[in-house]
Amino acid sequence: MLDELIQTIIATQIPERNSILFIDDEAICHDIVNLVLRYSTNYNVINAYSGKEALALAQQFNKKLGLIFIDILLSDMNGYQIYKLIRENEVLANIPIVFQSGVINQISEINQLIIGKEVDIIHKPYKNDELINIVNKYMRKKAIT
Amino acid sequence: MLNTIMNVSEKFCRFLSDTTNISLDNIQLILICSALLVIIFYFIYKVKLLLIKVRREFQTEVHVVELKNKLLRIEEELKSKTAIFNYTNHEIRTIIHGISGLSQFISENWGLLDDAELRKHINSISENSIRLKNFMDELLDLLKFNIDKNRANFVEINLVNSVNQVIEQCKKLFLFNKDVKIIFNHGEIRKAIIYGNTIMIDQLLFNLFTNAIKYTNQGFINVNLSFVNDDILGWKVSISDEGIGIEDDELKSIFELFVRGSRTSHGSIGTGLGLNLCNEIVLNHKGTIWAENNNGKKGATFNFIITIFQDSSV
Repeated sequence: MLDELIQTIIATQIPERNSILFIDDEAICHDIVNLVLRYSTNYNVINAYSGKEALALAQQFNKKLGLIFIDILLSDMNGYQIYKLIRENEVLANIPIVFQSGVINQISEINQLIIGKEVDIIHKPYKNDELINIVNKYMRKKAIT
Repeated sequence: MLNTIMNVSEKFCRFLSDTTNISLDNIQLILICSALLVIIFYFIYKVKLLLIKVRREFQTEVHVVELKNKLLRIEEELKSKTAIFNYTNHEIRTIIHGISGLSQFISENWGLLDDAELRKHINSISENSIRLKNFMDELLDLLKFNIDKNRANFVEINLVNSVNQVIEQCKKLFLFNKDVKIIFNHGEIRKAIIYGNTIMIDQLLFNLFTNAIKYTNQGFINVNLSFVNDDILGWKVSISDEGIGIEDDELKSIFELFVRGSRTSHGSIGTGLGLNLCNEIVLNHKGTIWAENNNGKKGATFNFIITIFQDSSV
């Protein structure tokens, strides 16, 4: 409850498009992203542990979001379902998306989604540098454009 | 041409009539009958050939249908095996990612974090290492079960003894430092005989008990044994915990592979394999298993019934 409140306060005070929505049902994955991005970048992380929670947070902070990380396997829905719902939503449709996957043979399915859209993929287990690089790639691109 | 044939056949008939002393009419009759017989045998032979051909074609068609069905079954099995492989791969990689990412960060930024934060993350690494071990153990149990289930040795098992043994095992392993008591209510029942595989039944009980212990921090786990005579004639075992309970719409799905109750914490020690193995074991014993939330108090109850009359060749 307190975490949610802090998350809301921080997110409402940060500049536009400076937040990353991180969707994963594993607490330890959130710990890593929060730690690494807190000490290596100035971006804010909004944490979602399920698809339902992610969509509500994405809607709430749509103007703050510069990037969305989606884990492919979640407890209530899969990453593709969230991806489609985000792309169908007018205010969220243009936000770049990075899939996180522990399943190598899903690359072809994701490649089909990539055509003409800002979608990327990062494979678990990834190094912390890879995380920083992919975050910077999309967040800086957004700052330039 | 026809005339020539007629003339030749007439001459041939006369010749036969002269040499055998049989009248010309009879000779002609015999020849006509013989010709007819040859034609009939020829047709029978042809029909037989046709029947063989039709039968062969029919058999090929049946064979093709059988092969197609077999192929469909194999494809389905492959699809399900691929899904299991994908989930397993994802789960293992996720846990390893968590452990390696956190430890890499801590090692590279040792002075950056205060003691409280360090302790939190090191605990997280430790919990996830245990989780990875549990996951591998349960995955191996599941694989072992799939290999053994077809050649299962079914023997008479007394559930009273099995439950008591598993309770003792759990007490030694998990309850020495936990304020949780297991109470086994079996009334006057001393013998509750089923036919089953001893290792599988022990595994079933062990998984249900560890599940109950995992989610009960303090209090009682009540085990009830009773004889049921409803749709199924068998022995019913119910294990009630005082844990977090289960969302009503998840009461069935928690027995599916890789499904964890949403009330469990994110990245909890649950693997999504244990209850699925319980379900597989009970099905293999032609029994039934289900979960329900405790009425008016916290926690859930896991029940299973195994029929008393079992074909030992199952």
